[in-house]
Amino acid sequence: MSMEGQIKRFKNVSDDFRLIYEKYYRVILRHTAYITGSIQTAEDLTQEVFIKLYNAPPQHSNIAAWLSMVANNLAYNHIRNEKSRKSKEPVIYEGESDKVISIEEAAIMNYDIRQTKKILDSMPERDRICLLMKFSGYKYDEIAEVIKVEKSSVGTILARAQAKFKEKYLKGGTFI
Amino acid sequence: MKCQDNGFLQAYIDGELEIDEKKHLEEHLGQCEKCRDALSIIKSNDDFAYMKIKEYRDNIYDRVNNANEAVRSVDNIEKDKINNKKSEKGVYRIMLKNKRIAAVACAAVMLTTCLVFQPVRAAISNTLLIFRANDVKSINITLSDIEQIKDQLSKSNAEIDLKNMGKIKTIGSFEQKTISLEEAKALTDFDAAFPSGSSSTNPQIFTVSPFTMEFTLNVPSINKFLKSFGTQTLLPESLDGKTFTVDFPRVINMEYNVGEKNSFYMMQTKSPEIKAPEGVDPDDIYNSLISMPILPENIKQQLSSANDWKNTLYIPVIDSKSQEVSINGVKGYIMDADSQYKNIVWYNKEVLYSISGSMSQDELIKIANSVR
Repeated sequence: MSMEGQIKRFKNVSDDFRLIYEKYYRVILRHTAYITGSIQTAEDLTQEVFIKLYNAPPQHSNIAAWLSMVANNLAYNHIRNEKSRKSKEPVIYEGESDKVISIEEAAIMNYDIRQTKKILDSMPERDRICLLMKFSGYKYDEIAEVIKVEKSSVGTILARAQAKFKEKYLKGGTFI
Repeated sequence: MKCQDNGFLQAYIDGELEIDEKKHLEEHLGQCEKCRDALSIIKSNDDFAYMKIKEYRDNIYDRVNNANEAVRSVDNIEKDKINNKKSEKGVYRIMLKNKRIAAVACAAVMLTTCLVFQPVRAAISNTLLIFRANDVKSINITLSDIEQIKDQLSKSNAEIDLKNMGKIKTIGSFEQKTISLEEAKALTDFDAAFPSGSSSTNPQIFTVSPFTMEFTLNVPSINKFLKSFGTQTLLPESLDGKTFTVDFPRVINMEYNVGEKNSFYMMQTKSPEIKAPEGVDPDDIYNSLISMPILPENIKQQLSSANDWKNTLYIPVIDSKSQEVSINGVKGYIMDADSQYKNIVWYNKEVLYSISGSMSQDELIKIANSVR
């Protein structure tokens, strides 16, 4: 970026920020919601992304790519760190008896989606990230980088994760 | 080329192989039935996961797009940046919004299920069996009905605490296992039926053992909720702390492969049975719920004319995407008739059946008709 461009950039930082925010807020929110499975979490993460952008605008030519990289990192870190959070939440049916669930949870309407979410949540974080990234259109080398395995292992992880997903889904069958 | 592992075949499906790897594998597949079979299983797992995860993603995208009030203004972000932490206002808004979403979900559940909560999803998405059904009927709901309810809810300033409305408990081992065809035929508590067409052989069978769910109502909380929406007919105090039980009979799920790639799923179970506590008239609950003023008139009429609600399985039909079909002379419904993945539901001699798969309507109906 030229000197003139930089000056202009700083002068207009607030306007630029507003434009970028309006353009990408929803894109980032949707993606983080998909990865984390929670809109509420996604709102927090998305806010964090834009705070990072505001506080330290990157010297990056492709702002969309930068935003999505930051959002991805935050979302994957969230999945990795959520074990502690998970143990505090009530669990819907893990094959154990006498589980109590709240009506709020029971009110999630669509069975299929609830079932999919439940199975994704129950998967090891590596498998889950792998599946979600694949079906979001990422290539093996990008997936490999995020879950820190060799590119050649991604196929094996995916094949197993998908088989597991289907098996759990059909076994969990008809309830909830 | 030698036989390859599943990871390699998966990479082939995902278009991740080098050109020469791909060429060699395709030559090998031409000669090796074992690898072709392995590939077709992996492909079917892949398709299944794709279908379900896509549905999940679309749902999340829709929910994000619908949560208009969730969009924080840029000004808030700028304030947040100064404090470098979440503003209390923002947090408060999230809480409010979630309550609203929960209330919408709750009302929609009532609407589709005629009870405060959806105790069971037996055959298809968003379905409730009330008492032991001996008939299926559809209730038509339009998207504008749902919009209308949302509107009503957003106008109300009611404080709603759904968590206090009651609790749900499951009793029983909830055992799930894979069984063989012979074991399925030998089950003593369920007389399983099978498609008899020649196209389908050797199903994979899963069964879920019977279990019970208990619903305990907190009537003051529910009445507070109903009142906030102007309902005149409240639940009788005598229902407070009373427990409804739902017995879920055994469920049998089967997956049949059709040809190389395609497959369909069949589910069968007796309808769950709801037991109301002694001295309770379930009509009280029903009448109270359908008198909620937020329900659009067209739905109210359909519900109040449903005088046999205890013996009927209601299938909510949103924007008429389903149609009535006849299966072996019994009435059934085909859901999502215009999408690729369809689902047929019918009820015959106390057993509820559902068959779903990515195939044409005629093919699905043909399979359904062949069930013996």
